[in-house]
Amino acid sequence: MKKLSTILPLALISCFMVGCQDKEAMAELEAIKARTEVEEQNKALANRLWEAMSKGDFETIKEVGAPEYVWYLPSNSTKPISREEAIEKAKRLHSSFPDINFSIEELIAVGDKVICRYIMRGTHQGEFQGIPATGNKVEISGIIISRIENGKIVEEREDWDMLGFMQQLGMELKPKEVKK
Amino acid sequence: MKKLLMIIPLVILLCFTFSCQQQVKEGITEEKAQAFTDRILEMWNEANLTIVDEVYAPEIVRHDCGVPEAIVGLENVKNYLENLFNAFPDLNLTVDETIVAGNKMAQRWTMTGTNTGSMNDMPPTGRNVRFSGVSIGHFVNGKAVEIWDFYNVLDMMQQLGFTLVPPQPPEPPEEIK
Repeated sequence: MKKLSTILPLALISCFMVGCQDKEAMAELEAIKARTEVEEQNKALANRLWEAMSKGDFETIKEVGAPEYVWYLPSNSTKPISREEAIEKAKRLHSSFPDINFSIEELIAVGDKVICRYIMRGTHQGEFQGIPATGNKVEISGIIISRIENGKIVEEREDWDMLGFMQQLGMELKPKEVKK
Repeated sequence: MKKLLMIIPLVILLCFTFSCQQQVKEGITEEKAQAFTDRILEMWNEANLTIVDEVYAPEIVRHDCGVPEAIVGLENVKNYLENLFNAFPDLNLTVDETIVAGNKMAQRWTMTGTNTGSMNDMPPTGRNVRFSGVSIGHFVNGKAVEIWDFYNVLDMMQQLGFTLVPPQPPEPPEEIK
């Protein structure tokens, strides 16, 4: 039995070594480990931002974004929104929808990117883009792709159901009237 | 002893599996993602509905932010595509970015087209549209089972000549004006 207890660990070590004997394979394994770690950190950063977005913690929103942060909305926009403008937008959203809440439906991290599918819920209690408070409850989703560098978000590209959102605020889509 | 004899091979097997497990790529490889994208592009750009069965699983669920209810099953997906192909015969899709993670794939894309056919009950407007979107797809055995598509429907409709208006109160009688 004693013999076995010495053999067993040896056997274990040797088969680990044989299993990953290849130096290249070991390096690859290390790289994967490092990548996984970064991806987990990036996910945590995205979660921090979403939590801050729900709470209206504008200090944290500023902190997670790099000074050179740009936000493309829609995702192919040619006029990106700066970090300061993004914070202003978040503030306006909170004053129109004080109970606003973002629910993360899916969070995927790959390399330096985090992809998030979210549902935004809130009650329209203050003026929003010229529409006076309706008291309507809104529920709208979207997808945002964030790129992270040195622990800060540097770029976001997003598409969401803007039309659905405006319709939930009572707006209607009509053909443009032809002037007589 | 007999018991140990059974356990040892098992342990050895286990540690072999774990030691290099991560080398075995799970989910979609970059090559598979590219092949899938090529087929999807052909489906959209050549209006080729036969590709639908090839890229989507029979239980496919498509969430499209321009369509109120989820589109379920291959036949419904084909009907949905056919409507679009009729409305925009020159429809063109380009993929701007592909991100693969296990059995999931996210893509950013741009679509252009000219509305020369009727869309549902809307007569053709003859106008051009260009809009972007982001999608997430979940895959099982290389076929998409669930897709979420988000794009700026409002922007697209505005390009087709629509506009957002506040709720319209009933029209006042002419004399009051």
